Amino acid sequence: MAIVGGVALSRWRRRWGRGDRTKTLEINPSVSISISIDDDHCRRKVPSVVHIDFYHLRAPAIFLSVSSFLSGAGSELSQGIRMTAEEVQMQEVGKGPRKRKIGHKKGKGKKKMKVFQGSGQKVKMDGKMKKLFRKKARDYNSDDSDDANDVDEEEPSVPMKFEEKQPHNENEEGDEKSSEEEVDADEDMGNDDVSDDEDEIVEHGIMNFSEGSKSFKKAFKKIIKRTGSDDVLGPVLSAYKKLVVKKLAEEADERKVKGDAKKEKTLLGEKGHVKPDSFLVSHEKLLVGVATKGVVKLFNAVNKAQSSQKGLNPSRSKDAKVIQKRRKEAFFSELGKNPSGSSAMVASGGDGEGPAWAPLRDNYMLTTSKLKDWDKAADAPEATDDFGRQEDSSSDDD
Amino acid sequence: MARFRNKKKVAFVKPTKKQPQQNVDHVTGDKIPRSFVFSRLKLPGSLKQLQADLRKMMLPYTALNLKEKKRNNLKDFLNVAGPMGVTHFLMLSKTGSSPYLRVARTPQGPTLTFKIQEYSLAVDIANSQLRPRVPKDLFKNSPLIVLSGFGTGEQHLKLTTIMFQNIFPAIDINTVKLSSCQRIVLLNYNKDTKLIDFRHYSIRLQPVGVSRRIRKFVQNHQVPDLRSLQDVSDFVTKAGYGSESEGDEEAATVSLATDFGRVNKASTKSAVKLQEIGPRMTLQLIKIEEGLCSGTVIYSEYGNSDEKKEEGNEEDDDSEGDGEGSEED
Repeated sequence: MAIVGGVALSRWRRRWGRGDRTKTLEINPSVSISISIDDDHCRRKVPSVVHIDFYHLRAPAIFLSVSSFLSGAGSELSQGIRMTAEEVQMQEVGKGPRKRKIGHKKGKGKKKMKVFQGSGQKVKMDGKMKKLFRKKARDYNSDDSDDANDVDEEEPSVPMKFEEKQPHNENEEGDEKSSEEEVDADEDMGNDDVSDDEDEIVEHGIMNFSEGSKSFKKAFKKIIKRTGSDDVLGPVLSAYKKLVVKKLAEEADERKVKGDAKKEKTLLGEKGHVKPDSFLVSHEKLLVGVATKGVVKLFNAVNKAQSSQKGLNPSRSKDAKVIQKRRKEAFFSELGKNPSGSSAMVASGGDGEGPAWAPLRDNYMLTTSKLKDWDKAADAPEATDDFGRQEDSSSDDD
Repeated sequence: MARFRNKKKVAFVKPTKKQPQQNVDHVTGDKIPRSFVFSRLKLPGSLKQLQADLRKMMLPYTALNLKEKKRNNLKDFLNVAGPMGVTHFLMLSKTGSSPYLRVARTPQGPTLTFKIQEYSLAVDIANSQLRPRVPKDLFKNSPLIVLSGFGTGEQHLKLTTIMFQNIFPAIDINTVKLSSCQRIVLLNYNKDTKLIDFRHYSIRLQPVGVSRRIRKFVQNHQVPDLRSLQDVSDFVTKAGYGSESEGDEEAATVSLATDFGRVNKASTKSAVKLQEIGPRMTLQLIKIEEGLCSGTVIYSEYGNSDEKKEEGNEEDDDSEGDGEGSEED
């Protein structure tokens, strides 16, 4: 808000409604400036009159029109303002109607000042109006009464109004220096309308600022000088800071509770789940031993049972009979009767020569013994294996 | 003429080769037990994994990808079990105190309820091992089962033995191929603690009496490192380090009847090595019911069984989860 002459403003807040073209600038908790463009003018694209409302503790609403405020020569403040305004005008002369967005808004306060509508044309400060402003001021003060104490009172509580038409077509408030925020809202044209207002500038009970008011200047300066703490959360809602902290703590608490519940649940779900050690515990060793014993037992039994039927094809009926017979023998031998004792003989067939381990033998990986002696006479009668196989082939031919 | 034709037909058909039936082993003709592993209530993640491990363990005669829904009750599974020839149910459930495993025969029962005191997943066990070993055909055949310590003469243990023996297909030692024996499930009953240790191992055979170097060479098919040797013959003659578990091998040595893999040939000596593949469970038998999750309580770990009998009669399929939850407290 350049109007205030490049003084760093803590906060300002704008609300452009459709009906009320209002921008509210909050200088500090107790002071805000709202700028409104008359709605009628907006509609007619001739928003030549801008009202600035100062909301102060004891000076509830001061209506000013920018142009008139600028024209109030003599005060340095207004000088500065005029300069800025002129710069803006220079820049923006010749541009069509436009609306520039406000670049930056920081305000978090929720105070929305209802701006007096229709003040652009004619504002009669009757008793009703005054009452309203007082009420506004009271409401405002009641919001942050703790802050309000230190603000000293300089202004009369009478709402002041000052109105004048803008000499130029456009009214501009902008801030290029403070770069924090930019205000700009207005369009061109509006000569004829504004000229009407000139007559009823001064109302009774309202000071004329055209040549500068000392008391107002003083008050305004004081207001401006006040520096609120300018940290992240800002001074506007000092309670907000607490609120945020509280909220964060609450959230953390909640999360903690949730996490605990989840942890508990997973713990319950994991109950009984044990990650084994990487080394062999003696108990495990024992179990492995038991299992190994079982496997060895089975393998030996299988060996004993199957060695008796070596070389016989169980799918052939002729061999099946032999197998049956041998199985019976093996079974009896298991029982200890041992009727013939032939089954044990078969097991130690070809282990006589060569290493015990098969891969080291000459015929390793040669699936049949036939392949080993491929260069020898094929018709040489061999073990029972070949006998069976020959029989097989002969039966297939039939 | 008709007779003649018949004779001719007989000549072509091989009589012993039957069409493999669904529920019957085509070699031995025994009925193959099939199983469903499922859960009764919603399980936490680790128990779900345990369920998956159990299914894998029960392969190949189980429904590996059995999908269960929340609204499926026992009756649904039972209805499916009949046509599919499923003979056993393994049900996992979880109460506030601990997970439970129920092993039941379908369709009549009995049902054994085990409390799972401790369990480790296959993943945990694989993580604990330096070289976890899972050959690709490990789960193609059903495991052997070894029950040890159950011979105390108590009735409920006898029943447990029978139950677990029948859960896997029986082995006919006359026809079995040793190469199909890749896994073993061990159930070891501890008399003192009354706990059953449930372990699942893979069987590995290693030729005996050969130096480690040569064994590795034959197994790996890789060119050995001969840099440190003067002559090629050193590779064979030079004795490497003996196996560290040489002493144990005497007891664990078998001579094979048939080939077992590529290096373990028939009628050679081989050492049996077991490596755990998981899951691992410590079970406590707490209840035996006559029916399928219902019926008279034959045995109960807690309290006398007479009280339970009346309770058990009223229990039906849907409410047994609650009944069980109240019981172990």
